Amino acid sequence: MGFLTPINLLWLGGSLALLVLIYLRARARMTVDVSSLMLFEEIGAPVVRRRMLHLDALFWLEAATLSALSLALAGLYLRVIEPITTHRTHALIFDLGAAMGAREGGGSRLDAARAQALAIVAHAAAGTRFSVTGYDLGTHGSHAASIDRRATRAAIEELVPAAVAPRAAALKAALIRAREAAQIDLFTDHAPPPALVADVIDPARLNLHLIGTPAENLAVVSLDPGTPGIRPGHCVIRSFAQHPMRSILTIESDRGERLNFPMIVEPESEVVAPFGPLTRGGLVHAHLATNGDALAADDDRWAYVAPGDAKSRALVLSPDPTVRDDLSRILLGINQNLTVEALAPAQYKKSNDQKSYELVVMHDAYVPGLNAPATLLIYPPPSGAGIVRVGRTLGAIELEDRRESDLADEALMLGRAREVLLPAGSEVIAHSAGSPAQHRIALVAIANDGEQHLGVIAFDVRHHLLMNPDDLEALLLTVQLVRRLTAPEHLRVVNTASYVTFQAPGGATVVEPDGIKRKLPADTSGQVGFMAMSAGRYRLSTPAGESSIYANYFDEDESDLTARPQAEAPALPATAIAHRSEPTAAGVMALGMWLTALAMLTLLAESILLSRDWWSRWTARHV
Amino acid sequence: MLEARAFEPEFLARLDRLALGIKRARTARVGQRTLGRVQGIGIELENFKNYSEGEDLRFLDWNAFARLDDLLLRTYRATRQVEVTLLIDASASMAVPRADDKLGFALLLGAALAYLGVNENDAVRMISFGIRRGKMRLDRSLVCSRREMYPQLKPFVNGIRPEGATRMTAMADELLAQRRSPGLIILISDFLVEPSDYENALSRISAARHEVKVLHVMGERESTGDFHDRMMRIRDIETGEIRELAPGDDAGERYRRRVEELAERLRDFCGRHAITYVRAFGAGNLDRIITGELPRLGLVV
Repeated sequence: MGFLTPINLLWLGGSLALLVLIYLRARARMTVDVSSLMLFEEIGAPVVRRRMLHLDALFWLEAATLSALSLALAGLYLRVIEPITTHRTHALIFDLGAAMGAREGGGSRLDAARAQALAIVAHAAAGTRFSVTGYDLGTHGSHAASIDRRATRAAIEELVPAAVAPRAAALKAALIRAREAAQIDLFTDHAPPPALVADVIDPARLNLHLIGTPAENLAVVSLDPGTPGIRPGHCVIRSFAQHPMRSILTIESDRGERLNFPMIVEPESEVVAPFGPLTRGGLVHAHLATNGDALAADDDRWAYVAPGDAKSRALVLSPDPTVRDDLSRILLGINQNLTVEALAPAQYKKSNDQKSYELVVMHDAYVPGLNAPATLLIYPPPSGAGIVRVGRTLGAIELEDRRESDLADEALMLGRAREVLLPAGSEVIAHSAGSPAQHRIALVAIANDGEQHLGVIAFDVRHHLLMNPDDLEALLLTVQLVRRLTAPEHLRVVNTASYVTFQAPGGATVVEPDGIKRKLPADTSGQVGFMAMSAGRYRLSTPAGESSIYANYFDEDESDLTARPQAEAPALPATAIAHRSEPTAAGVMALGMWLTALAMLTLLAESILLSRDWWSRWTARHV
Repeated sequence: MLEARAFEPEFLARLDRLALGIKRARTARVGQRTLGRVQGIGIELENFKNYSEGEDLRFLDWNAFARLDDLLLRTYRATRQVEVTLLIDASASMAVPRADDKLGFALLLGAALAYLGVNENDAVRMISFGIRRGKMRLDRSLVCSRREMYPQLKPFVNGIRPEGATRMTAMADELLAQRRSPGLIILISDFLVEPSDYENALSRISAARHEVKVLHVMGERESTGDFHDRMMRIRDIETGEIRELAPGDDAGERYRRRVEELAERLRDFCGRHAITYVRAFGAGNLDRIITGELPRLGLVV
């Protein structure tokens, strides 16, 4: 059998292997690369009929019993992660900007944020300490870290949105305050800049809850009441909507005039609605009524215009004709209904001593006995001016950098100024530069002289100081002071986030637009003050009478609700957040008992099966 | 390679009469794209208007007041420049089917849109993204803001190689960690990922106040489906997962239905979130897409 030689057998084996390879290669299907299997999900796969294992219940039961007993003897255990519940702090930070007051469905965005926060509180482990902080212009630590759940819930419920745009610095301060917390939950309607967060805290500890869905909004941007009987007014409306919106603009004055303008506002547009001229003036209120408008705070705006039925007169006295000219222009710019007489002080004494004026402005001069409810003294003479005593004259003075003004990056250098000694209870609006400890002098102030309002500007306004664009701050202070002097004492129109002060030595009570009443104590100078954080009417009651303050609100970024993030973006279910964020420690759970119990159960099942077989065989034998 | 056409003069000449459509950034620059007048702080004086109480006194024109006795407010055109970012999916899935040259098609569209941007002097950059060695990597081109700079994009466009998996959420995180000012972002991809991945990514980018536009790219053969074999084995180019396939008579119909279903879901998501969605299936439709679909859907005007 020469054929069966070892060499031939090797050749035979090699040939067979080659045949097998060729056969397998022929059977193998070509593999095609595709971009994704997702595209083929609806195309069927070949049906494979192949059984690898025989199903014998007794075998598998015995195998399970032996496996369970073996694992139990080997000491199998599970590593479990257990939450640490002691001394854990959880900070809840809420955006209280105007956009959080936007209506969505049945509530506001802040309501949605509250619901998420309350769910986190409800699912937190026992012993967790919660702090609650809101931020708008600043931070409001309404609730320090505490394990008292009831107090935490109450603090969350007490949060209210303000009609202001939240400041990034306030958010930063809130994060700094929460820096020690193990977990920080931020509820806002727009994501904070990552760099701001990373600058203060570890971003991994921050759970961002983006609240709200894109919403549509119309806003009253500005209101110019015009000049009664002379110049028409106009109201500017901005649409932050993706669709045309029907709305009715109502212009109403407190002297009985009422105008309605139905309109369709195009998406993402600005509408200028002219009206008037009004016949009587007074407090003018613009109200925008729109279906589907998400934010109510920017739907109202107020402005005050001096009534046109009584022609007012103002007197400007100055030895310098250019100053008289500048001051007259400024007064006419503020109120076009004003009749301004500009004279040198010497000329006035000769002829005009019996007229009554709404405002008297005296520059570097003082004429006693003038009949006017308001007087503005500019650079009062060294000999004194009524209740204002005048000290030394300074060659040059620097105006302080005022916090509420972002106009000047550097302090403004003014010309000459005179040190004035004001009566008690005066309100200083601007000082010279320097710290309070240094010798600072009052540059702009307002005081009451009995029934008369008295304004004082201590610096000189010669050489067109008020018309020089580089010295704009001086002009702004002058305009502000003239408006304060000529406006009715019981009525003010301000923007939200303004600090409003009143002279009320005995304190006052303020009723906010939402009906909340607060008592305001007077400071050492007899003034009360509050920050207008809501849009609408504040009613201030003092022993002298009642005053109204109307706060206007508009902010382009906050009113634009169309670009807000979607609710489904990164927000997690509250329970998931709570579980995810717990600090944990590894633990061990022994499984010996469970495995032994499993072995006993399988043995029991095997016994039942065996008994049933035995019984069936026995009965078969005996039938 | 289709992307080579992006720098041919004949192709560019056809783009010269188009401009990118930008809504949310609300630029106020003069030109075809001026969709809304925005007053802002800028250099270019736009108009005067009467002063009303509460308006910013910084813009009062005191010289005019001195001459005319009327308080006038100066309004300016905002001079903010729109940043246009073109995100190109450079994952491995863009390389198959090889005959479709899907990546080349995406790069051609991306380069065309970049050309439209630099034509308007916008700051334009292209970014390719994909998972490289287990981490999301964003390759950035130069920022071009003038038409003369457009050829400088050529090395970048020619240098992109498809590789790795697609992870859009990771891409969005990486992108938003570095970008700050909102602008226009155009995402060009085949979107062959789990819908939750691209939904999450698009939501995050929108939430950062970017205006987002989506260009859904697929190859001609890939979008139509054609099955000759009765039995076949397919492998996912990104994950390596293998699946046996037994296409029946209606396999082509089922495949196209699935493609339509995935595209419809993406289009629906974009529609609900104010994101412009443009379908670009098949490089053979390039002319129709650029001159018909893109203007019709507002991606260009």
